[in-house]
Amino acid sequence: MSQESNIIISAKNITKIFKDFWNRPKAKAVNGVSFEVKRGEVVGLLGPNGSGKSTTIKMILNLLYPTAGELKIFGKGTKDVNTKSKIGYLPEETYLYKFLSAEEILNFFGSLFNLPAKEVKKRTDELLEMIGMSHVRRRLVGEFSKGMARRIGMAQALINNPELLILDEPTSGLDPIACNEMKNLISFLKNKGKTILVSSHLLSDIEEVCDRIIILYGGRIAAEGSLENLLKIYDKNIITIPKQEDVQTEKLRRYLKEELCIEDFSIGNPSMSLEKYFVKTMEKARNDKSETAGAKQGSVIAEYLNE
Amino acid sequence: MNRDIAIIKLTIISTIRSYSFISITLLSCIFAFFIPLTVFSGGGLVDLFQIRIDYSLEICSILIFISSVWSGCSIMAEDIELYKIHMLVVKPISKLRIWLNRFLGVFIIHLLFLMLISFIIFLMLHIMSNKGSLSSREKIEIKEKVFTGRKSYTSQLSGLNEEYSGELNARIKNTTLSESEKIEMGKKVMYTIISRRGEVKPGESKTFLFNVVKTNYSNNSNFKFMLYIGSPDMLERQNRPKAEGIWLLQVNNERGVSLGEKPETFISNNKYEMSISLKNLSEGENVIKLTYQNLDKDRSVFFRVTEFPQVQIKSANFIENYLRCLLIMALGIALLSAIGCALGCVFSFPVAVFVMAAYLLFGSLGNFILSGNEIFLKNDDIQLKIGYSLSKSFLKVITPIQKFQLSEYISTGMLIDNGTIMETIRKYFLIQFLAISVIGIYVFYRRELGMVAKR
Repeated sequence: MSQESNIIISAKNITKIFKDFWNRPKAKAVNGVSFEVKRGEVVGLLGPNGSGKSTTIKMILNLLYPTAGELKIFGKGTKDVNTKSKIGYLPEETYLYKFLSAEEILNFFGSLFNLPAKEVKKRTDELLEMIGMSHVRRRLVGEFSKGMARRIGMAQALINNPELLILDEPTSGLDPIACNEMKNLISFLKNKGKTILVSSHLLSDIEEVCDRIIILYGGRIAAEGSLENLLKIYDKNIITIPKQEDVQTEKLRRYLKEELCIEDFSIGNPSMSLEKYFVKTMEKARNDKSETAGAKQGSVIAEYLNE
Repeated sequence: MNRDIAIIKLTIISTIRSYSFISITLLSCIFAFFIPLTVFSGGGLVDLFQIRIDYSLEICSILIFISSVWSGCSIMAEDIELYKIHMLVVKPISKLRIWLNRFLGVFIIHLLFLMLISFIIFLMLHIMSNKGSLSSREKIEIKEKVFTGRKSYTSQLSGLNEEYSGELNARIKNTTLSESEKIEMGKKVMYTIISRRGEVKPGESKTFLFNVVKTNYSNNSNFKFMLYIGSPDMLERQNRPKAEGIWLLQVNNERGVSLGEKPETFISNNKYEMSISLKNLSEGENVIKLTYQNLDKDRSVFFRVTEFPQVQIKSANFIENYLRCLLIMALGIALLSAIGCALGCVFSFPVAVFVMAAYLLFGSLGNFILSGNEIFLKNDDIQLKIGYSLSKSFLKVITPIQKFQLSEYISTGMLIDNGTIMETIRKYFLIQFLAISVIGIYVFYRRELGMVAKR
């Protein structure tokens, strides 16, 4: 595979200036940003509000046009319609047609990719099963909670089995179980060689799934690199051992202090994150067979995504 | 193709499931069903049926027109305002096709709506015209005068321009009239010529020429006229004078025959309709001469130029004529759907509806003002003149939507001929529709859809 075809997104000096009615510059949302996303990478786009994350994503999707610079997706301009058949997009808020049912929504988006009706039906069934919503397939989307709509949004982004997946705040509005499932799904897709661009405020989400991050501030890239390079603290070590008796712990403390002459250390018990604790509690409740009208836990990954 | 069908289907489903469309559909069905039942009297039986057809078709078509505008505006504006369009434009389908499919969806659902409503109206009229309480003579009368498609031929006014120029030149020769005085003089001359042309002096006769085309139904044709006795300005309804006269019919170069066995007494200011048999028409164009012989010894008989006798030849059956009317209405729906979709791309929904209402209002008012042009032109009031000029300018870019509403033709049994259809397409549809569609597509294509601030 050539170097050229290995690059999925290529942004060179892209700038976006929003103008007022009289065409006077009002705000520079993105200012000379350059980056590349390679095939199979999971890249996180981070930054505070107004840093230009969404604007960058919208430019990639041709929802906004760059004022300057060059933006290429799969080696073609953003206006190329055919390229879009390789892209899946989950927007920040799920803008669905509330008068359609979950099944109709997926059928509709599947048809937009010119997939045969039989294939669309198969994928719809598998995706609904995957996001844990096959029991509400005939309910109108307008009646769904935000999290349920978000799951449908994720399913529609995957209906074409995309090569490039663009996720804008993928865990926004999701309960911790769904967040966990979403992260698992992203990891699964990553293993399948998909290229994923994730934008999020929740740093833990990014940290768990991304290979590389781009931090934007004021429309410019403030930092860029692999998570390992950026986050690893090279001048400290961490040792994890099984639980010890107090006497043993005291011995260890003395050894570190007296033998190795280390003054700055701490010994205690690691704690699990609240998210992990919540997931564990929900799993227990589910095992106790409590009923719910909302979304259920997602099950097996859609078969066609495995292909 | 799948993509196009998917978007068209989505548009149709979204329209069907919207409250505004459901309300308008229900209202239209109620009107279509009940209006024919609620009109009980309107003069004679023929008038009654004419009113039923006119009211039902007119009200229902207005509702369908409103619905198509509303749906067009709401579908496009809400897609953009509520960001739903993001989910479409990121898919492998061009903006051009999205716009066209959205428009087609709105158009198709309203076309089906029109079919449904017009079928209900047709069914109601059919049931009512075949009621057992009507005599067979009444049924035939309704069939011949209402449920038909008759083409009207008016008498030719040959040599009018030559006569006008000759007389006007003779009058203004050797005078020093200003331009406006010359115009006034021209109007007087035209009025005198027309009055003179319509006059049949005592004991004299007047021939009206018609160029007609043979149809399958020529046998049962009729002839309509209205005359004034003593003066062309006779408008009194009471004490109307009477005069004896007889009509003679001549087809091509055949021998003329009288209509009726003996002279008839005609009443001034009365409408007359007589059956004529045009059996011997040849293929292509035929010349029919209808001659009025004034048998009154003292008074002249006048035919006004606007009410000159008309020969009506059945050229199509009611269903064919009804379908022609629906075709014109369908063009109106297409135009309004396109305008709705185009405005929805530019404005928010309430603003788009407001602009559309202004468009329809200007079109209707402009058309109304121009239709009374003589009154406005004669009047020296500067405001009226401004109104007239503005209307003329507006109508260069705005289509008066009533041009797509031809229920009057259907109710009076007048044929909507190919000429009328072509003229409607040429004058009010084709250029406007294409221009509006191109503007809509261009704006949609150029617009940055990610910039909208959500309310």
